[in-house]
Amino acid sequence: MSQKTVTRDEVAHIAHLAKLNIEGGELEKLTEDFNQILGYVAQIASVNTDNVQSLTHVLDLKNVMREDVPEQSLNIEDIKKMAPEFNAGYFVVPRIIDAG
Amino acid sequence: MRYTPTIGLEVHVQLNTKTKIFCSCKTSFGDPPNSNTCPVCLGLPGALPVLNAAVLTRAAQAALAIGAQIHTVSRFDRKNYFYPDLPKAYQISQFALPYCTNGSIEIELGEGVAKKIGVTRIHMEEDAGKLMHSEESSIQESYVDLNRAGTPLLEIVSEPEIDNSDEAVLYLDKLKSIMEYIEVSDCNMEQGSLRVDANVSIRPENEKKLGTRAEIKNLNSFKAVKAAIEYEIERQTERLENNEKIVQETRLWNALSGQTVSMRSKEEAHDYRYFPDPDLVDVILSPDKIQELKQNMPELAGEKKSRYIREFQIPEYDAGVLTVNKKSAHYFEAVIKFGAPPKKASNWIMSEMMAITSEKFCELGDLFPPEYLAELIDEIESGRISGKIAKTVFQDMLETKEKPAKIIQQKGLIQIVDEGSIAKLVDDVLAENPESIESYKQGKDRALGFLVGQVMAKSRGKANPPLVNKLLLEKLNK
Repeated sequence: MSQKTVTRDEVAHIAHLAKLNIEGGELEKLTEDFNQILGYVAQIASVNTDNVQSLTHVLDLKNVMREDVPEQSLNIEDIKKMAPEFNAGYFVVPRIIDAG
Repeated sequence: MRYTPTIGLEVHVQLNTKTKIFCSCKTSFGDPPNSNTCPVCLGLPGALPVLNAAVLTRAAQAALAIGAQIHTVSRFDRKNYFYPDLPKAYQISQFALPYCTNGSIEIELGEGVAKKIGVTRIHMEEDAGKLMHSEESSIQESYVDLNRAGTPLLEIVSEPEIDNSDEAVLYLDKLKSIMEYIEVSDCNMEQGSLRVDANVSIRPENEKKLGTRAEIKNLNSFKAVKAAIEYEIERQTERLENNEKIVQETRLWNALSGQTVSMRSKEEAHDYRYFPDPDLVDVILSPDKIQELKQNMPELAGEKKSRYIREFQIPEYDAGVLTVNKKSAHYFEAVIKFGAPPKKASNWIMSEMMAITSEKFCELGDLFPPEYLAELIDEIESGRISGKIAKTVFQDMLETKEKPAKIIQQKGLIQIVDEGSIAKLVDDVLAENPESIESYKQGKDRALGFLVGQVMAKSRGKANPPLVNKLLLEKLNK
């Protein structure tokens, strides 16, 4: 099986989606690293899985659920302490421009 | 050239569970901001989501109500994107293995013509939080309330089988009615428990391949859905006529300007990088469980309608009107339980009460309790009051919220059935109207109607009309 490699453009795209700013020179290095990691993980493709049923989850668990019963939420003062900026009960973030 | 529009609707319905889909915070609307949040719905590191069993049941009921297939294996995926209303930077949704597929909703196009609109899929997901922006554009801050984050949603995606804005509204009306019927959602558009996005495209009449679509958001009412679809069809037609291309994009409906506007910030192609959420395990339903859910389904509008026709022997039209809304159906059944003949009850509800409820946007039960209507009907049936007097009593009931018997007694409205008293009134009227007697004798039937009216007026509406008729005829034909 031929190993899939990622291109410079793909790495740039992924960085963009992750909101990472990448300087021009870094991209080459990151693409190289990226492909090395993929190469390492690709070993798993060499395992013969012809007679193995596909798993939907690695845990042997299903239907883990809870009943629809309300429980105590966090205290607003505690939430406030965790937030970098908090005002009148709200988390404060930079203005999100309305496209409307 | 003529163009054929194609419309698909994506409806988000908030499920009316007590708690959120993956944590035990309350889902109540209108609480202080961020008061219903916990490590799970705030997206704090290490917090683990656990599925709310009631979400699964309600979703299954919704699916069964529109004839969709429930899958024995379904899974939750992460939909990745950054936005401040989404604290984890991913939304837990379903992608590859949705809970239900292949349903349909039948709409009535009028004159007995029905059309089935396919429902591609129904899946479960969590709602995002709410963002608030100041009207003042100089304020460089937005405010985040995460109470709504994690509220269970059903996304119901239709096939692109809707041909115009009227069909879209019929589809939504029907969908809303079904969801209300099975009581899985409040379907309140103002409170956002029902939200609609519309995909609209057009293609030349003879072309088979669908045109490029625009996704329209910010539709706050069914009226907005209708107007936005009509605007969008017009806009796209104009572009094609001018040999311009249609861009696949998200557009926002602006109710004030009556236009859709391109949402440039999201022009970039979506790349959500869905993958199975490792924090949640698969949902596996046994056929037995699905069977059990089927058996516990509440009676749907269509079933109720057939039952009314069969059990109460009311016309199909009546049965249809009474069962559109579940609360109306309950009211009607309660009136019958209090002893009213079904057709009489349906007449009063449809012709008198529904005119008021639709004008005031309220429910039948808000006017007066069902036993009052049953009593009023009994007063007429037993001959204590005439149908005409009943209308005045009805008006009084609306205003005073008093029982009909009390109003009738207080206002002295009991019907006069004593022949002697009516005969006296008849004599008086005949004495006052010799010219009408003459007209009658010359064969003018209208004169009889006039005389009956005079006697009724003299009795202030209380004389029993058949008796008045009978006595008048006796005297006139002497």
